[in-house]
Amino acid sequence: MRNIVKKGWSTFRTIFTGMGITIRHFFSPAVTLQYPDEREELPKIARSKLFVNIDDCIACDQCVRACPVNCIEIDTVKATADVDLGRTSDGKQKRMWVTRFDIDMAKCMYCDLCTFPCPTECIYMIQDYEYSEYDRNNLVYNFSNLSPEKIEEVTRKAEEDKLQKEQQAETETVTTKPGKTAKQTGSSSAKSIPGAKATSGAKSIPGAKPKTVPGAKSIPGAKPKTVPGAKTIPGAKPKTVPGAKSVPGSKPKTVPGAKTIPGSKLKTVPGAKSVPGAKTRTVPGAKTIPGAKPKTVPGAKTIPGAKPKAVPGAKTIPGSKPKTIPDAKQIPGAKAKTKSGVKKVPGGGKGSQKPNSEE
Amino acid sequence: MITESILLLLLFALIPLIIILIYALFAIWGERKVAGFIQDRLGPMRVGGWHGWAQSFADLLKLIQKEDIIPANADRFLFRLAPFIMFAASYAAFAVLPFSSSFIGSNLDIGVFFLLAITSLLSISVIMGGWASNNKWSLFGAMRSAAQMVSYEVPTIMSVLSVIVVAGSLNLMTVTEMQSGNDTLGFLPNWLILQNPFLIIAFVIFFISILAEAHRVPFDLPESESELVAGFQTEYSGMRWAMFMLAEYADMLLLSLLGAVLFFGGWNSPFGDFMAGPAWGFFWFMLKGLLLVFVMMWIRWTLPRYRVDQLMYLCWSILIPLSFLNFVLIALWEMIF
Ligand code: SF4
Ligand code: SF4
Repeated sequence: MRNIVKKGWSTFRTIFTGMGITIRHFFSPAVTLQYPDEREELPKIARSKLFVNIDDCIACDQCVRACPVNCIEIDTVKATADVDLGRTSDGKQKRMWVTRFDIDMAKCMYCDLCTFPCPTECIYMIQDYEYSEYDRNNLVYNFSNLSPEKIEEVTRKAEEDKLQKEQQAETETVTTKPGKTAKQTGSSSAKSIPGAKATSGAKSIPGAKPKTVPGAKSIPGAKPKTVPGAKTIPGAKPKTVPGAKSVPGSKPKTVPGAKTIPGSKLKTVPGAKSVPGAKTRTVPGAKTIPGAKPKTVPGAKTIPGAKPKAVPGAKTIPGSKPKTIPDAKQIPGAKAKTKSGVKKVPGGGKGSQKPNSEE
Repeated sequence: MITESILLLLLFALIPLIIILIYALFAIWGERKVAGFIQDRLGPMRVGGWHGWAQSFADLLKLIQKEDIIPANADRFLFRLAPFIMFAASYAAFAVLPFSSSFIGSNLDIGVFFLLAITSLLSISVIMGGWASNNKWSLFGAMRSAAQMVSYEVPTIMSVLSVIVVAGSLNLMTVTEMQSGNDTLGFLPNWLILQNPFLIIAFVIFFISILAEAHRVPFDLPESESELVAGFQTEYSGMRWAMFMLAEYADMLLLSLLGAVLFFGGWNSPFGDFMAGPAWGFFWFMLKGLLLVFVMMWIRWTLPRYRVDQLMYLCWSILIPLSFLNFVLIALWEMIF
């Protein structure tokens, strides 16, 4: 009996204790956050979404390498010397076009490892955590602010620039034998063949200087350097640099000393392999008049604004066949185009991919 | 003449129905709010503006649109019938409740008896639904429900009988009327619970028993969602399920109101003649009932569920002997005083 009373008492005591607790909570304020209406302030270090201040990015690739899951992808193009990309906010000179800066937030695991290596602190977490998407592909954020046209342009310029540099390097070393050079270049690469001195007879005379016209090319307003004494035989064609034509006002640089033999065809050079299919061979008889304007080779695509970089030995110019001088290869330091026949680009005239890649 | 009186009768009968419907909608919302507050949450907040008061209406709309699924091997007739019987039983019992001094559905002289008898149909409908569903969980729930309701009817009836012994009438209106006035100790209302110490024990037994009758925690074994999915309601969907839900909440209110009549003076104002009258009577009656409903919800979010054997032990070993003993003591008290 006593036991029952005791038990009954403890039963009710515990029940009322429990009910006391619940009623206290009933009157205590709720901890609920009415989410869409109210939002909690995230801590400063919250990791929720990456953001790239692309204006400050120097394309150093550090973040890409830091990411354990490879969710950052960057493509860059080196800026040409005539472009100033400006400086980052902390004073670093920018030298690259960032043609692509994609972060796949679907892959990101929010480890924050990518933000620390950034030298300019332009990649960081922002407090936006409401970016769900119906399509996973929408979680790839593109931070590059270049338009496709701009990307194409800078890419092309960078290639041309590269070609030009190579050409310069080559011409410096090459003594050349001038083939007759039909150089036509297809497109952009104007290839006046530097160094090709068209000797009459097409033999390259040793010791002949290549007329590398380095600066000639592409400098707008450059006068043609028709060298006095250049015997432009009527009918000889100056090797106008195809690329030249693209530069408004650029004159053709007829290389002095290029003696184009009248009537000489392109492949007058023994062994010169005119590349089959090369278009734009300047036909003898072309206007060889000094001071002649560059004859734009048909088929040469002048890139607007492209500076002609007559790359010596621009073998890579799409469509242009290099006129390789057969003997050229003897020239020490001659680059790629030294192998006779080497650069014939089959079906020349391809796009402007960088031909040099083979090097 | 006849049609008129029939229409009038129907209109009359509609009043409790409307009360039940409105109450059920807000009780379901209220239960969720109570659950939320007790758990330091807010409960439904979005539908309808102020604290999501329209949540139940939205739920009802959803339930109406739902497909009415009947399991392939179910006993289709019983399956369809069960929710209606359940609701009809709850609803019929409201007929004898005195909502106010001037409104009672049917002023039966055997009001309490009718109420207890008609609510016994609830267990039949539960068994019907559980059996007809042809689902083991439903059947478990139905069996538990049968055992539970049959068992707990005994203490319920004994505690009600204790009140009847004191009141001397089975008519609920009469029972309420005799609780009018504020004479207890000079100022307290003449509520039965305040008139006899043993009636307090009777009320405790009564309240525990109606928790079990209404399938409320801690006696919600017939529909214990954590073990039986939803017990006898498992196979029900859409409006049929809503009927069960409605009947359940109606049952809760019914038993709470019965408790209010038997122990707390029904429609009598706690302040004597102050705030008394038919309209105030309705207010006090519903308030007392709803307070008990709130206590049920409060208990629901406080106590864990009993085990089946504990449930039976509590009933047969404690409540039934205690209620009989209490009944005898009350009878003696009445004889002596
Ligand atoms: S947070 Fe981590 S996973 Fe995400 S991009 Fe940065 S390094 Fe990659
Ligand atoms: S580490 Fe910074 S600067 Fe370098 S590529 Fe990434 S974002 Fe640009």
